[in-house]
Amino acid sequence: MNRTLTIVTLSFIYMALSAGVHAGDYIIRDFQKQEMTPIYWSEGAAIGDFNNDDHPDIVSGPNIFLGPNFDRREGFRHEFYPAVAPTRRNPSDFSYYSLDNFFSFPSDINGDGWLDVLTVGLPNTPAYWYENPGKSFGGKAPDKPVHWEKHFVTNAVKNEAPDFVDLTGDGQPELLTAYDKHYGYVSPNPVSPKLPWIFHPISTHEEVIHHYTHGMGIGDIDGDNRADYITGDGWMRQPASLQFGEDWEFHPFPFVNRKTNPVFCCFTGGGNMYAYDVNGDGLNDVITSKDAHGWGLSWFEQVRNGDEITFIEHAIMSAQAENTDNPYGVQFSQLHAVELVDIDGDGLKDILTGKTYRAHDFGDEGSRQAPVIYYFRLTRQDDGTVEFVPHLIDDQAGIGRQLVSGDLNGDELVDFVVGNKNGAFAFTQRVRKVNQQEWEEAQPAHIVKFKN
Amino acid sequence: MNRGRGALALIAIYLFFPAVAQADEFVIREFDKQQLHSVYWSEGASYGDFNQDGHMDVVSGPHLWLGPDFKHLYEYYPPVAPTKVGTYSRGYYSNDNFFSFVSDINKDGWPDVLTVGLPNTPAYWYENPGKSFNGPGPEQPEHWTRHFVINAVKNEAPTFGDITGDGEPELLMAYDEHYGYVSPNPVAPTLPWIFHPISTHENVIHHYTHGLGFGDIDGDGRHDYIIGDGWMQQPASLQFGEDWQYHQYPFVNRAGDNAYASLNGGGDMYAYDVNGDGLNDIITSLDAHGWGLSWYEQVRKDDEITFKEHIIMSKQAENTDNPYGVQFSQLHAVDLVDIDGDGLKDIVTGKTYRAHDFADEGAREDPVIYYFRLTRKSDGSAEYVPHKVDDDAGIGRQLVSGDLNADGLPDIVAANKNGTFVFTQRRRSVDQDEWKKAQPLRLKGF
Repeated sequence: MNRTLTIVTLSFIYMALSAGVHAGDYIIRDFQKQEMTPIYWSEGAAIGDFNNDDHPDIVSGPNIFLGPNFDRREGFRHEFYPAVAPTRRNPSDFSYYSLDNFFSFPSDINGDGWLDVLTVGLPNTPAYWYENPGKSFGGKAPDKPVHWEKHFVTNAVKNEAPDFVDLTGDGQPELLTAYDKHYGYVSPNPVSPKLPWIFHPISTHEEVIHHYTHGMGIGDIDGDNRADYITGDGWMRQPASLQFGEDWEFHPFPFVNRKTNPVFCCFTGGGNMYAYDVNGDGLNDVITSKDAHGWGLSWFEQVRNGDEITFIEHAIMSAQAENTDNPYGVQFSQLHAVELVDIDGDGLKDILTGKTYRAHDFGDEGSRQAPVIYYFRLTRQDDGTVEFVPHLIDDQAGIGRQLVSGDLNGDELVDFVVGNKNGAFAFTQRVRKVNQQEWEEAQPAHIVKFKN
Repeated sequence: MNRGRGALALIAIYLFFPAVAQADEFVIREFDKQQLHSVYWSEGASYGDFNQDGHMDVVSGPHLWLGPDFKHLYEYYPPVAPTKVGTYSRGYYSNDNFFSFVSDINKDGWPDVLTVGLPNTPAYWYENPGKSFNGPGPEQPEHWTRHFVINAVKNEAPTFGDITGDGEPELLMAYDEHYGYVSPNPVAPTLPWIFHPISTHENVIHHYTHGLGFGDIDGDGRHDYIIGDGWMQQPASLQFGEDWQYHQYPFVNRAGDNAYASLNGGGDMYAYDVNGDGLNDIITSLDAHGWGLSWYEQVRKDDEITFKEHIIMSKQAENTDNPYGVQFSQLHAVDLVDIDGDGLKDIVTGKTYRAHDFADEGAREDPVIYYFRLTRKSDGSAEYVPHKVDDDAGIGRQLVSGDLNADGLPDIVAANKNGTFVFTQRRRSVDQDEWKKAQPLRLKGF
């Protein structure tokens, strides 16, 4: 596929099963793309109502784009902290990077009812949170930006797929990161979130975990209703009660081949990792991309041998340039972020992912191919097998290192936002009723060699 | 007194009491000054046997000087040039190194170094690689692995001492609206350390606030936390986040109309029983960029603890308090150590050389170092007799005493904008005449 092939958003179509649309209706889902800025500020973006006007806003890098318009041209782009220009890390670097902003995590950290933003930068740089001043900024941005107060979280976030989620089940999110020889999480100082946060190690490994190690996530693998900690090398089981410094039981399993990538030996892995019951057998499976700078997307079916938990791999896209696995002929590289969300409202979570645009400029596998975004619609067959049906959303924006979905416009359809070296983008989902013929023509087709 | 006059260490003399020397022997104590470096790298220095050869070494800024002669220099981390803080800054400062604290942080038997820089900058610890080194430093420095401690050390007199009594030192500092201490992550000191708040105040405590220390004020055997505005009583058991009881007392004056008045204070603060009445008193300088050195006698009214101030040096340029006529400014660091071995801790301090270049009170006077020898009178009062150690080097923001050459006599290390210095104590027996001539003289009228 050529990157210049098409500029408009492509359309995808399928039979809608969700509420609000009658069964039997033929529905096409479009994603309308809106470019909020063509400038590279961040490797991610996120959604939240920062001015409490009931319209979700978009945060990416130092910018908040106010909903419902997300319109940068009319002065509605609010800069909430001083912008830092992306640079090369050193004179011989083969690419340039945002230094301070790869991820934005909105959360009401100080509990005042106004969403704050926790930011994570280039791996091995600090995390901060920016305190929403708690006044409405519904209108045009002021001539002089009103910068939010910055608070220190931790000095160096290690691992390329940190996340800010409620791992412990206490109702508050924790920042997942590695440090030294430990995986763990960072949570606010219990006295005040304005104090430096505290790293809670949950596992001890033989070697220092490199900050460029890829792939991380959480989810309940053993079915005890406690989220476990998932890495490319296996998972750590959350114990019934948390004691500071007590290692969680480590269950090695090679979800990724750490040495696949010739450039990044030993750090190879995906982006966000999930535990989810893909095939509906009551056991949570693991979903992960295989190499954030190369090829591969798989789900790992959980199999029990007595009490022992192991996994069978099912490739969704092949782990090398040649497609040997995807029956729809879809194959792209650099899935540095993966979102798991029910795009079509059928009750099953789908995989939303894409190609990271110029992750290492043109140094990665497949990096000159079109920067696509796809969702892989989960479908379960009668025989207990499943298939992820790929739907192309876009082939020009690509994704960054963080991919976040949510409802941007209150229509209860899942939208998503992107920040990367192409800029920052909002993708808004639309539905359209069509006749059967149009619907059928728009269905993703099995390619010949994989036809059943 | 002219700053350029004397480069040699001056001589301080007094009657020597302890067991080592015969009673009635007349002893002069001198401090040999050795300048290790003439370049400004740090506001402080400390010492430890980093190469485990049985000789104490000196650490200051990015350098170790190997004992016993301190001639060989080892660079243990990449030096950072001092710079101005801002375009219109009136002084230039080491950015990364004001304090060096020596401690075997990873318990491998080799002393490591914890560094604190300009206020509001990070603290790190550097891991001693744990192998013997001697002679000249290698052409390519072997830098020690750096580990993160905390992002911003607030307060101008942080210290690394065992306030909790668990046998391990903690880094005392403020952050946001809290005083507290930073201790290693219990799993590994190579992980980011943890700030333990011990008191909550109404306003954010500014990182340029001066003066901090610890000591047992209430006599319960537990160290309390001492600040310019009072002290916080350590509870019997430590619960994370539980405030220690705050007892207000204005050890320093933060009420002035000067722009920096609210940050005003001294350097290291101590609780020590100055007058021997069984109650620990408070010793502090009053303005690290101005005048004043006092001790506060603890007075009990039933269970209530209050203090009565005794001025050692006056709070203004004019000397109205010191009977020996000694008056100097900018006591940004104070060490409490028994210099003369009489069993009583003396005060070692000096003038911080060009703390804010020449903007501070008395900034153009001699950068002196003194020790104030504690003497107790039979009537229960106490007097500090000043002995000049030097009038050319001055001190920085950290002043450390200890026995560098294993002769049992406390020596002094200092570093500042004049460079890095070692002051080695020597004692010499003299006849009575010479001894008498060398005694500090009392002025009439005090």
